[in-house]
Amino acid sequence: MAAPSIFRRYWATWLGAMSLMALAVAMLAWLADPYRVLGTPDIAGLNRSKPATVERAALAKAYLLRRSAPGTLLLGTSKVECGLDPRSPWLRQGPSPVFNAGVPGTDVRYSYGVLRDAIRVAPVRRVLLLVEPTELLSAPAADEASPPGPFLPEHGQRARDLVLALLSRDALFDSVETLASQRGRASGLDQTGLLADDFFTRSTDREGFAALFRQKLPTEVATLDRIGRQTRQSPAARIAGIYWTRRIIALARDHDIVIDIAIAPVHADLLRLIDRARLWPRLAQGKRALAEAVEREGKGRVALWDFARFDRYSTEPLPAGSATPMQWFWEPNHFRRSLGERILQVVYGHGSGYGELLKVADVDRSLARDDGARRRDRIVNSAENQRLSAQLSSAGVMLEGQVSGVKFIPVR
Amino acid sequence: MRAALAVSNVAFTQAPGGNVTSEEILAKLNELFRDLFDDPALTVDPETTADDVEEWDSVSHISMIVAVEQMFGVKIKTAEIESLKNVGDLVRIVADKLN
Amino acid sequence: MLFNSPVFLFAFLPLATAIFYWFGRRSVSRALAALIVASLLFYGWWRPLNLLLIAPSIALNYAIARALIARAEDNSRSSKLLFWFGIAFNICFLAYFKYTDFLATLANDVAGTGFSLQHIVLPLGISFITFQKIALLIDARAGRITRIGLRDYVLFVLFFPPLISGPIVHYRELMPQFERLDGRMHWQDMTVGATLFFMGLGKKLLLADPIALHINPIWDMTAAGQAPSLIYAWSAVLGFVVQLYFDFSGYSDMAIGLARLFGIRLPHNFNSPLRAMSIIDYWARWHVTLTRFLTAYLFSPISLALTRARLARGQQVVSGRRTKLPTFLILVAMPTMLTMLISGIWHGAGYQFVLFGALHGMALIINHAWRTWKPKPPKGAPKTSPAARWLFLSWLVTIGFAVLAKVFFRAADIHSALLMIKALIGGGGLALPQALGALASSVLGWNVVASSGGTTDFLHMIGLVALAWTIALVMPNSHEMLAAYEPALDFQPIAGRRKIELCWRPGRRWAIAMAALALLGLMSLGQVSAFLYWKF
Repeated sequence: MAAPSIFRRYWATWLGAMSLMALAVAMLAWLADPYRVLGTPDIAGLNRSKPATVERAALAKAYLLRRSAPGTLLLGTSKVECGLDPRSPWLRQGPSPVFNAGVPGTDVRYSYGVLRDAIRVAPVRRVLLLVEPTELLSAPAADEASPPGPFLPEHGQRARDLVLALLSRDALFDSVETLASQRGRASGLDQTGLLADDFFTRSTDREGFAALFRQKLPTEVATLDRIGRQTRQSPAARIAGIYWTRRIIALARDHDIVIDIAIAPVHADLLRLIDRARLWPRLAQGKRALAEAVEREGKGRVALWDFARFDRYSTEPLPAGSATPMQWFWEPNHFRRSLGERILQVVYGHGSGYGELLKVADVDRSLARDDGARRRDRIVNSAENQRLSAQLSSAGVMLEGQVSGVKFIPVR
Repeated sequence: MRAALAVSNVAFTQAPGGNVTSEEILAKLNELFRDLFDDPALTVDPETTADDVEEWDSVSHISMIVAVEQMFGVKIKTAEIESLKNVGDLVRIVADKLN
Repeated sequence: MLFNSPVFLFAFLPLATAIFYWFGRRSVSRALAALIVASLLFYGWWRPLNLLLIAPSIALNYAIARALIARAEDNSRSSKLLFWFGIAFNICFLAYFKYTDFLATLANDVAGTGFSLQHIVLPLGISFITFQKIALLIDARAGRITRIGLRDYVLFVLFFPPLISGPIVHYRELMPQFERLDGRMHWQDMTVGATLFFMGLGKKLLLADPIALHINPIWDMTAAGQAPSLIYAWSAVLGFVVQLYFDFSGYSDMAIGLARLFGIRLPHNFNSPLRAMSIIDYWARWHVTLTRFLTAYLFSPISLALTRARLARGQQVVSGRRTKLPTFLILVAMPTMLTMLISGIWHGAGYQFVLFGALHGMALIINHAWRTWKPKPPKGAPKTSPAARWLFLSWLVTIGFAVLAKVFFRAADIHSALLMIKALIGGGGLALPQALGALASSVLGWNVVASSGGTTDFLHMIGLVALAWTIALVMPNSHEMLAAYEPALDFQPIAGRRKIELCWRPGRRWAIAMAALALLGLMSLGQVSAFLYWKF
């Protein structure tokens, strides 16, 4: 057929074109840095908005943390990620820089892993840990005591991350998406680890806050249903999260780190659901157990704040129209930064009028006060309670506590 | 496949003492194929394969083999059937067996 | 080792080819020995235990093959026994690994016994290796193979390109090629092989795997006892057909391309099956080497033996439109159904695979019946090609059936398969992601429930599946594109109108295009891990 030289030339062109294209792709990916793995400087209008970091929080934050070498660490879940602003004036007094290490879908054990690894690469002196109320309801997993995996990647993994961040198909598509999405509001994680509001405003601008509340309802019901079954089978079950809270306090103590712990706020809808699922006593039990653990391990020097209560912030009523924003919450599980500021003010700025300091000596009184607030809520906010019931029945879900049998219909 | 039931009409009678040529075999095969696939216009040559003839599938393949055996009075082994890639192979196998 | 893994592409393959040709310059037999070593490494990479497992099978098959060759044409009782022992051994070897659990389940269901499932781990590629060894024994006994050496046998069984998923290649196709090798590198072979390989890699990583990612959760729903909603169900089913096609044909292309790097041509395995006009045509284009294996070694011998027996007894045989029904049933229907049942169960150990085989058996029988008894134009009437609408209809019926039968191929079990079929006709309701649902409600007045999936994901899935079907139906397949360089054995492009002609040539434009394809494929090897988000 054709002479061998034709094929040799073909190979040369083929390999040359591949190399050139690979170089171009890598340069594009470096410019865009879609996952914040590479550390390309932020340039407004070019690559500051990072939409691809939303679903890769752990990856992005591992590299952000290493680069920012923070003095203050904010630990927790997605609540922390979107609700606590490292640039808050209430954090300015303490060790800087402040880094938001909240990772979605995690628990206290994961946060322990983050702190353990962060200590090795950063001069961490102060920590704020937000604990999920639902973690105080659940029973611990069977392998609870096994340590969390590494949060910061090791050498081999770092090389792999580098190659993938430059030369994978995902990186190429995400780089194009990143560079193309710079108009309008910033989205994704910024360099302090904070998640931009755009994540929620995308939905609320279009459909309103009430719609978002309605959408999240089935997921929350499913979670509570699962917890309910779990704990009903073994009522004396221990509380999840206690063991690792003690480990975090011990770790902080060993490294001279000041740690404050807070039970994260949730919208009253979620508290009402917990009540209707007959899990309220267990929540109280969990808070009490947490207070005891914090006092014992922290030797009285660690503060525990309870924000998961019925108060004027959590009982914020849902707006009637779809154009009206809510002030304190995006949806039942995620508070807005405005409420985050209040939290930081209370914890670090000696603010008052929000949240309760839980001390073993008067924890029962504190919980009793909240229980009273719960009962008052049924009467004072009866309209909101009725609205919740209507939303539940129109979504076709029932809670185990309310009727016998649960019907959760995931729709695809 | 009328050929199979009316062997005497179409059966190949070998001229005594003579060698059969490939062309003669091919001509007879053409008759057989036309009859088998019900297409008077069909013409096969040594290069024709199953892909070239519509409806030459595994079932008609069997019918064809058996018809060839009847027509030429030979027996084709199963192993040889598998090696038949085109009509030319068939002609060769029949020629080998007749000569 | 997998073809689509960095260790294979960046380490094993370059080294294996380099060492092969480095030895080959001086001695072909040393190069072949190196190839055997490479193949052993390839096979044992994941689990070295695999090598220990198949070693006795290789040894035994080799001994039997030699004995059969020595007694070829000999119809004595002992050589018959030896032959059937070899076949039985291979089937039992495969059955032990693949079907023990299924047989236990069968026994439990039928006889009420209480066997527990063993979950035996299958050695890699055992289904394919077994078929190749059986074919070799049959050929040895029939005298198609006249001599065999140990090195040749080991090379045949372990040659790594077709080792794991085919194409099923015969000894007499492979060995003569090895014997003709001159040990020098031919640029044409390297180029054609590499081109075909990266086409296959692209098919798998850029089409099949992304589609799988989208539709697997929908199939998992049926396994969990829930019927998906209408559009998702159709996406899952249509998506699976095209996913399987690109995955399997892509893998075959990779295997054929790899073999070509060593100067060897393997038989082709796919020829645009989604364009088939009848079920018979479909099986002539889908997994071609399996069809030819089953036809040659199962269907034809049985049907031929029965036909000859009937002729000898003066009974009717198949004779066009005058065939009688009992004749058809015995000579066509029964062998076809038997062959397809075996084909079904070979694909997987489960009831749904038996049903899959039975469905295709039924369809083939109907197709053959139609060909036998369909009304033909009177003799002498001019032969006109059928109108376009009839062609379209026959394609639609064929592809429609193939798509439906695949539901049983993919579903976790028969119950899930029936659930998916129910969903296809609306049994799971209609749901759309939020934004589209609102649009549908306002524009069309539909009562649409909001699904929990995102709109972007939904559009991605639909778009990918549509793109894949378009490519499969409209573009020439990889072998057609490379037809001028005969990448595979026995490949004939389908005659007839083709909408797009695309012929690969070793020129600059193709080099750049193939470079882009190869780079995109290589870039798809690793994924930047995404974490499941917002799950509380």
